[in-house]
Amino acid sequence: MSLFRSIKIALVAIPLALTSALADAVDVDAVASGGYWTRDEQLRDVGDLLLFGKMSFVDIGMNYAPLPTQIPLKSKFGEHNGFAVRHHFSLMASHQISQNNYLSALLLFERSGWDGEDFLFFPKYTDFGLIRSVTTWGLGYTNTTVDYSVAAGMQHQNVEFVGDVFPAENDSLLYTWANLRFGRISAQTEFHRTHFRMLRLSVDLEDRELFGGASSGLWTYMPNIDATIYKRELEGFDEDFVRVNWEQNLFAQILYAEVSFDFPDDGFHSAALKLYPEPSRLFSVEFTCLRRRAMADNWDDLMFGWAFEMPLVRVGYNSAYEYDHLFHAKGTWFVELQFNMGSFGDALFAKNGRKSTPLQTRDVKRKNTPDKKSELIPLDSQSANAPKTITAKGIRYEKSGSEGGK
Amino acid sequence: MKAFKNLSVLCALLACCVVLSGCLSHWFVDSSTRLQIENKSSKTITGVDIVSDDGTEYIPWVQDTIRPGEKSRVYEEDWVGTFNIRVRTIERSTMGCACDHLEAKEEIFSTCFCSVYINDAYTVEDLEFSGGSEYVVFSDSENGHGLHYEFK
Repeated sequence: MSLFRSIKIALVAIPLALTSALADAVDVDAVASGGYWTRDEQLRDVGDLLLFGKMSFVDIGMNYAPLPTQIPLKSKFGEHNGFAVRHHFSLMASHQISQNNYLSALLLFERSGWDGEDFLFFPKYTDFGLIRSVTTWGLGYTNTTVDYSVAAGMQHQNVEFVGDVFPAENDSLLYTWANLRFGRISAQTEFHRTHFRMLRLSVDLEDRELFGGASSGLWTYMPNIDATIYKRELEGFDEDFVRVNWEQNLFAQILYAEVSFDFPDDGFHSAALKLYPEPSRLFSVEFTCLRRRAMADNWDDLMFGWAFEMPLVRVGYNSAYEYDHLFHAKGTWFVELQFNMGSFGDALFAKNGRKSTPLQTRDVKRKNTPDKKSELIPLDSQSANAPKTITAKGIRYEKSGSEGGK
Repeated sequence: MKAFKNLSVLCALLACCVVLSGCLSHWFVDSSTRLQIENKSSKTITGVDIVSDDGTEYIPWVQDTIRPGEKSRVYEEDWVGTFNIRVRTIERSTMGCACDHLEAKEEIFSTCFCSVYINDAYTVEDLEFSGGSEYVVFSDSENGHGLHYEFK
């Protein structure tokens, strides 16, 4: 064994040992069904963004797992070292066309999958990789007089590469979606050709100062509930299910509880306690509990985890969000380099923020503003050769204390 | 404004790290394994495969016939991780003869093959490949049955 190789192995051995001792492999089926949950996540984001169809929003992020043993892939042939990848980008731009009418354009993009090497733009497409992209786009119209919004668009799911161990997947799937909102009630639906895929009904009763609601009081303690009917097929049979999410402000829009249930059969899915030190949601700390289920083997257990988020980075361990959106990955640290920011007028806020961040600029009126003709400007600035005279106004006092005169 | 400048410098640095990380990890992490086999056993190795956990599927890896004392070519595949490998061997046996008797026109023609070939397969479970070059030497195991393998 060459010296160079020994050094290489030594460099990697310690972190490898630390993470691989804890890491759990992601299952082929979870990666294969990733597109389904990516599409759902994007439409859920669309619904959240259109709650307030007047803002602009940008979100960019990528998961960062530096070691190939952190999120390996479990196939029928064994455990493959490699990288679970998730890059996402969202943009919403709104334009005021007249006093109470706004037009919005939405674009959400995610490229995710698993490959033997990590990448930013160009995957290696190893034999056991799967790389797919999901794009959602649409146009929205918001009227603030009656407070309603209408939006519709398309959703594309494309696979770039499907490895040998994955089930066959259509390389190009096209869906249509529509989102209707009247006040605090929204309905969202998705179709593949003429086949119904999903229907979501949301009631967002909580008052948000950002959207013109109260900043405190009883109405900020109202719940946000949504129920989604998903079309699902299990082993050739229709096994539709309904997932209900309940988000509840527990204290001053700083502490929230979230719980989600699956009906009719599956029961409890996840619960979370989330702390947002300030209601613009730039920072958050969350503790989550998720019920893992394997229907084929008829077992389930509870997984507890946590995550914290701040501008530029999100770090988690066994957190429910990553489990749901990163191919059921668990047992390792998740680092996501991310940035998201929404803006409306002067207000800046993070995703689903309740109030504007306190970082906004304020105009401060200065007292005793000196006269524009300052004393330090040369009196005769027209001729360059003229002697410059500085006139001083006022009296300058000099204190001549005993300590100063020595 | 200064805070914005600092933030943009931080973003640029982070972006550099992110862009480079993909390349840097490839300095010391291989995403494929280059496997070469040396056969020091008394049997002829006819191939090395990766077998599924339930044993019902396999993907060939080394597809050479390696006679005793020979080496295979180098086969590079994307097998990095923990897998079950299967080594297929063929061996000439002197245990007995296999004869065919053919009766034709009151005569009996007999054809006998006295060398019987025994096909065998040996499975090694949960073998770890960390990528890069792997040189594996197979030799007869001490008890006379089976194969002994060693990474060199």
